[in-house]
Amino acid sequence: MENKELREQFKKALDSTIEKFQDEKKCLAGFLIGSMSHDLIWEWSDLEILLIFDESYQGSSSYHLLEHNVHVALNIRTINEFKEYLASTNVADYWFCALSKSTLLFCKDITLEEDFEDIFYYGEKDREIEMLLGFSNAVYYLNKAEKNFRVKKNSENAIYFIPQIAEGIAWLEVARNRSIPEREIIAQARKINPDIFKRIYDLLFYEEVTAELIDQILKDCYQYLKENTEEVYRPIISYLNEHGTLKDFSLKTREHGFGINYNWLYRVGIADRYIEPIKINNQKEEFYQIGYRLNK
Amino acid sequence: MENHIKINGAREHNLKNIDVEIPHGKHTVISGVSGSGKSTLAYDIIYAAGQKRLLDCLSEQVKMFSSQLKQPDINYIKGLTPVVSLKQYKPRKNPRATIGTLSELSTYLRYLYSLIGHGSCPYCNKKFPVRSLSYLIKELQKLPEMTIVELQFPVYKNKSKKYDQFFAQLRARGYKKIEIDGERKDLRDWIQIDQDPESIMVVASKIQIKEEFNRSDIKAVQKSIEEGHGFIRIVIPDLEERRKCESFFQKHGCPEHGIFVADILPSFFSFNDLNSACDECNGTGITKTAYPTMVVKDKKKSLKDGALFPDFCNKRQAFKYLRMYSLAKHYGFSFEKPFDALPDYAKDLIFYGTKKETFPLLRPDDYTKELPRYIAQLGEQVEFEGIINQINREYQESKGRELKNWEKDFYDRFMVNERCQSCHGTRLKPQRQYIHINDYSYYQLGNMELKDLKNFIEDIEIPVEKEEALLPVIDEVRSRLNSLVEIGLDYISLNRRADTLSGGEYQRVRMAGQIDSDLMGLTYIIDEPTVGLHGTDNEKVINLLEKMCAQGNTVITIEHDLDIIKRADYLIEMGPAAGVNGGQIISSGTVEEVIKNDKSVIATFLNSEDNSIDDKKFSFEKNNSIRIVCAKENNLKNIDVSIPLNSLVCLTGISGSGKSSLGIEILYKALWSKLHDPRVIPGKHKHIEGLEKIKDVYCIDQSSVGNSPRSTPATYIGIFDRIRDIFAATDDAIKYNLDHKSYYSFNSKGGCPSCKGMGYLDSHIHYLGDLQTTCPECKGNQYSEEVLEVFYKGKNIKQVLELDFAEALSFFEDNEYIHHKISYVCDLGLGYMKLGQPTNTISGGEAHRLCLAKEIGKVRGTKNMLYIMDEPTTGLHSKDIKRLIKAIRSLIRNGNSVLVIEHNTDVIKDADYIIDMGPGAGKHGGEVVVAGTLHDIIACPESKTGQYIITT
Repeated sequence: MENKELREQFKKALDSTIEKFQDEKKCLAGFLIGSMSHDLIWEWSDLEILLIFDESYQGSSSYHLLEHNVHVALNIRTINEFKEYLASTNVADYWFCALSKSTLLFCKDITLEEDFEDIFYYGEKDREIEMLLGFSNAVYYLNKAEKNFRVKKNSENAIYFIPQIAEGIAWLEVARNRSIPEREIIAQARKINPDIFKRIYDLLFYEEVTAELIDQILKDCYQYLKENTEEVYRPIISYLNEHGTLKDFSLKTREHGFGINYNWLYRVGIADRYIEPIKINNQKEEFYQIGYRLNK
Repeated sequence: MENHIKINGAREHNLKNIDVEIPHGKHTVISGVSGSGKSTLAYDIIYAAGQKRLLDCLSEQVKMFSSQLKQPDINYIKGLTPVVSLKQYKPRKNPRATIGTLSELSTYLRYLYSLIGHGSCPYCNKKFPVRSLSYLIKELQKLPEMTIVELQFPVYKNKSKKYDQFFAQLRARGYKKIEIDGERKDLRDWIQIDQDPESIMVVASKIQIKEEFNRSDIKAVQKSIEEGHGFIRIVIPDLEERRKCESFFQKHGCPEHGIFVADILPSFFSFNDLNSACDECNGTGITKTAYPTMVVKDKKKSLKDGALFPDFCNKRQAFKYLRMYSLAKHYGFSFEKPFDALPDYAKDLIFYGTKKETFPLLRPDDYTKELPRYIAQLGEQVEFEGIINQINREYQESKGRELKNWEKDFYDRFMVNERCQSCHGTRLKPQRQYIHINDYSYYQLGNMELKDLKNFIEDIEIPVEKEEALLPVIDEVRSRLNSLVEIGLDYISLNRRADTLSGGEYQRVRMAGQIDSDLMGLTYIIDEPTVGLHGTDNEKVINLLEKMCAQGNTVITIEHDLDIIKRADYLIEMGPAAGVNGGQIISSGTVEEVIKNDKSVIATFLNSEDNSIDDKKFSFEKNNSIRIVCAKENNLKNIDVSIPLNSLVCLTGISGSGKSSLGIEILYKALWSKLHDPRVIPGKHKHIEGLEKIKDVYCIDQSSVGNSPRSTPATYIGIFDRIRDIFAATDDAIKYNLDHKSYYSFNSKGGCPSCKGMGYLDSHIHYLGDLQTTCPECKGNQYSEEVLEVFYKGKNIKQVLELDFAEALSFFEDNEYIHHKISYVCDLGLGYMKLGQPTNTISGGEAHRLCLAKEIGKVRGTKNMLYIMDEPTTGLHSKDIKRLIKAIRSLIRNGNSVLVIEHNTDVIKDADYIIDMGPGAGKHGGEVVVAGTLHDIIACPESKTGQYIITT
């Protein structure tokens, strides 16, 4: 339970800090971010404030103040920096998540307010791409876990990969729900689809972890992914339906470690593989790359 | 200061210790038969001395190079001023060099567009002024306070780019919303495009109007203008607020679409600027496309036996071979029948693929080569995208990285240049087409003929407030245009590629540039300035030369044209003959003085009143002719032209009248395409009747001999191999173990290792370009020391290459093959030319004759060839022209046909049939004024050629 007095103390610190900046003509907006905005606070919490100044601002980008004996972490951006950030950010960014749970304290620029609100629009394309990326993450770790468990007989490593599969699945669930992913994403996703996490994640903490349990979890992960393939891979399957192959297909995603896993479609029997000649860099030799087409 | 350039004791090459005086500030013509020493005097003495002395005056670093420059072999030269050479050569192939860039007119016109160009709305063509960013911001600040303004900018997609890629790129640049034909879309959603939209606007940002914009607001406007390449769309979402701002829209932009233009810079119109060049073709105006005919090697062969080039199907590459076999089997066409017997659908499959359909991989019974393990195996389903699709795709994918030589070769072999589909040849980004002066975009202006452009510039109204900035620009444009028009280049346009100019045209463009530089006190050496000019235009060149003198310069021309010689202030006649029999001054002085000189050869021609015309009989036989139907290339006006065969046909007309378009672009290319290389695409025409009567075609022009410093006349006419064999078989060669012919090639084992057989080293001096200095290792001998120890008849290989053809004729009299080939070269008056002279130093006229000598030496007994010659009299003295005509006649006697594009009256008078093009140049030309015998031409009052012949 949160200490009421502590919150009161934090509130005073917030008010007195904001009061000092709100009247400053060049300070255009202020955001409260962090625990104070969306969670409970405790004695070691700090008060995080983001201030937006006009372009004439020449000071440092961060300050650590003490107000009413509260550690105030002050972040300052110029309006252009902030607008550029708003233009380029995506759901995988820490600040994006923090801003999504922030509280707008004041704003003197109506266009900035509109821009800020607009970044949280979750378009259908972005939603499907994020689902694919989460899914691809899960498939990557599922492959690792399965290899360790079934081939190398190394259960310890297999267990290591299971939470990472769960995280990929959680990302998928959150994206499907058009929610902004949070730091504790499995907890966030569990609220959306508790059943799957009960089967693939919670058991690791509440049950005795045996080879049978690991086997079952991995089977459940595979089953879950297989069942969701058609929905998650909709953009790719629909392209294959229309064009036959993925030769001219491109899907630009945000920077992502693993990209999209096309081979999964082959693994679950939705697509067939064939080869097509390619040139690599400017080598004279011709190589053959994998192509995919739908199984008829 | 000396009144003359005084040369004492000149002994370079064949010069016989001569003394010469050339008056300053006058026009001096050096004349004489080919090989008499004209070029030696002008270039190897005057130019070489001038260049060396100029370099000696420069920095120590430059002196280091100039000290290695060869000193002309003279006693002394006095009164020399800085020397500029205006030689004739074809500019290098470079799609980026145009008449505009060459004359620098483009630079000034770009300024003009940035200063007085007005914008027009891409969607309704409404005209409005171009503003500066600061002005536009000031005007925006005057709008009612608190008004919310949305900033957008138009974007254009390349033809080759897909919409999803295009939108992904916009998203990656930080934009989230766009408007497609007015409908708002979010880039975070899927966007389906069924049909190319008229407009795509990117929603950049919003600002709120206030009395004074903060930096962020200014930056937002600036960024939108930059991203829109000068174009910005201003939207006021609230209708009430929009109504209050109507006057702003009316005054500065398009009220209907909200488009404004600001900050147009000169570089916006430069296709050499990466930001302005078309994204698709990078400013060249051309893109490459593969053509089906090019991938077929031999249509008489079957797919099995190599109908296609091996790159696409060959037995050594199992997968490609089996895939082609399987394709034929699956779709039911023959793998064994000749390619041209295949049905159209089969060819379509081979070129454009199965369109995503798959087929099983099969193996013919007689083919055993195994497939690599890592690719599809027998029985597996494979797909075929088609050869043409594959080449085009791979070419697109290779964009943005440097191609290896073999890749360049591959694409050059199977692809042709086409007009860029994205910019339609304008080379610029689309936004540039919406900036106009008097309704003409920069590109449209570049397509105007220069004489029309001149009138256009005169009609431009200059706003008073911009006079100070504009007048110097207009003056410069006017003066450069005048020079080009006055020199007879009024028919060309600024967008024309420089590498499509003839050597003469290119030289005249450079001459016009010299006039505009307004420099004085220079000595210009100009090589045959009348080449490529119709006789009626000679006056224009004379005026220009006089203008150069009037500016205070000394002009020395090497010239054979009697019109120019007659108007010279001073004449130096070299002779009496070529090579060792030349090198003397046989007469000099004013034209009148030379005419009175008994020793002068040119005096006979200058005095000649003979204007007689042979009463030549020629009957045009329809059965023995070819007929070009509906010729439309360049300025040709859909004309039909008949050309008789087995005769000398002369294509005449003023420059730009359409001679080359007809003779080279259509006739030659159509024949070459049919007989040799289907990649060559002839100029526009319907068809040519009677092509089957021609067995082969050969075009002899200034580029025929090639332009490599590593090639020599001896290699070109095919005797050097034999000479090397002779050396390899000598006792010396055997003794020194140098008994392989490769030791006697300076391009191979025998070459000096330091200069790689060039005899000189290339140094690049920043502001003076390339400078050649003698190789200190071989002292210019090109060969390594040990090779020069091998002698044949007392001469080593270098000394043999130093022989001229006349000397070589007796040196090799006991070798029938070499002797025979050399005799033809000598017959055409090239006895003075050295066997080892680099071909890049050979003049256009010499190149013609060398080609001709090679052909005559080769074609004994060959019939039905068509020789097309582009100005073969270039560089020829009147005396030499008679020899040339004799050689041409021998070709015709052997059963061949000759089509000559020519201005020279001696050749025209000798022709059996003349086709006179015109009447004017450019759009005023492109028609056959008259065709027939010389009498028909003279009898035609509309024929400028006919009338000129009467007056000469």
